[in-house]
Amino acid sequence: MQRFSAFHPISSFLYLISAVCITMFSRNIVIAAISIVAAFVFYLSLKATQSVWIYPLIFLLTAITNPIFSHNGVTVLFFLNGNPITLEAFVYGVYLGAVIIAVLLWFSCYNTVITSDKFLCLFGAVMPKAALTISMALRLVPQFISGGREMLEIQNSIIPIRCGIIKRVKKHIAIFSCLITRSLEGAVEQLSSMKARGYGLHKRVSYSRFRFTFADFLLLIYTITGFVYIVFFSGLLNYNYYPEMDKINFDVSYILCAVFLLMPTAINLWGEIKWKYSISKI
Amino acid sequence: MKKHLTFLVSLLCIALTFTSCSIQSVDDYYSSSGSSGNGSYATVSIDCKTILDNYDMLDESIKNEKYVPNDGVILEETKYPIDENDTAFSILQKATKDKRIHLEFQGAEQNALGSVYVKGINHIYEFSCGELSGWYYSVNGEFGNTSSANYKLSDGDVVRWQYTCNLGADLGAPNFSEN
Repeated sequence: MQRFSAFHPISSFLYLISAVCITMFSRNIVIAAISIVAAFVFYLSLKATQSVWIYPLIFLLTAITNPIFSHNGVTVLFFLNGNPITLEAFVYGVYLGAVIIAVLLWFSCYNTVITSDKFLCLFGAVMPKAALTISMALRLVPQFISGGREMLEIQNSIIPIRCGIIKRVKKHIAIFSCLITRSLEGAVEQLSSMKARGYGLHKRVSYSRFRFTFADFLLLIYTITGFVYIVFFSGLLNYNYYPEMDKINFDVSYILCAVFLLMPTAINLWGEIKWKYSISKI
Repeated sequence: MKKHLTFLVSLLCIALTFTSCSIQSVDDYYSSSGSSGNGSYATVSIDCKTILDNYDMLDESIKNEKYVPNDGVILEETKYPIDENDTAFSILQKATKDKRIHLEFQGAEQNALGSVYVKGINHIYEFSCGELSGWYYSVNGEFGNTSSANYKLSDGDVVRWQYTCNLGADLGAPNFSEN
């Protein structure tokens, strides 16, 4: 059971967005490390299907690139073409890579938790057109991939897989044009059917299967207080790398931040334990 | 076969990139002094006195006596031996190596013009003190209008590297962009 996905969209959406904001706005390498761990554990607990194999590559690339182009910093490791390669620049590159990967991981979780029906439930009433367009745009790429695979299989049965390069290019171009036509046609059809059902009219009330319960209220309060504390009162977000790295004083606020970011994993784990326990009693 | 070829070519590319870089350890870098000169001398000094007037605009991270000295002088006027190839930039490089002062630059032998841009000295960078700040050089009180790496020095020249907070106007430099 993924208990976190069962929360009301308002609470889970706000929580995920605030986690992403804390990760992006903090300049502190410890917060970035905490965030990357929290996002990865949450990603595992969600059993999400997005592939993450490219992330270490992005991380390595940023960590190596930064010291080559930025030479500020007091701790010189060695000199490259007369310019210093410094520890500070390297640490800053590691921090940048960590933030990028943490944000990507949080958004993988976001995609698994906030499904398109939740997104429409959130924004369908306020800005119906934009919400529908966004949810359709987000569906486009997965639809392209699955549709493309299907068509390739069919084409492979007509034209052999091992054939001349021109034939192969022709085959793929035909598939691509089919995909574009299909998605355009699908979009028009979807929009006209939505219109026929009266989507976006002010009098119309849309059904949503989410109810705002006390637990949702608690998560909302938790998100707001945690976000306000970390951003405005903890003083964790300011940190200087150049020319000398600030000292890191470990105190309670780091633990509070870790608790804030690990909350969804804990909720999921709690749901899992409860589910197993209930099953064992049957 | 094809895969092997791709692998070899990429390996060659990486090797070429590495051979075009010169990697020096810290002590090697500071002890390599460059040309020993042909008997002539030039004087070089580095200061950032203009920051003292605009101290509130300075980046918080370098508001420290280590980076901006109280009198604004990073390097007193110092004499260095030069030869005919030495430029306003190479004497700066020589002085910063000698006194172990941080220096970051872009260019030098890497571009077609042979020009150089000095980004930061002693951790004081361009834009560190407002968006119009950066490093300027002058030789015998005149602000050159070429890159410092193209300005050849002669015997007895006095090179000053100065930090500006207002595109050189606070140093009395002419406005090159209007000509």
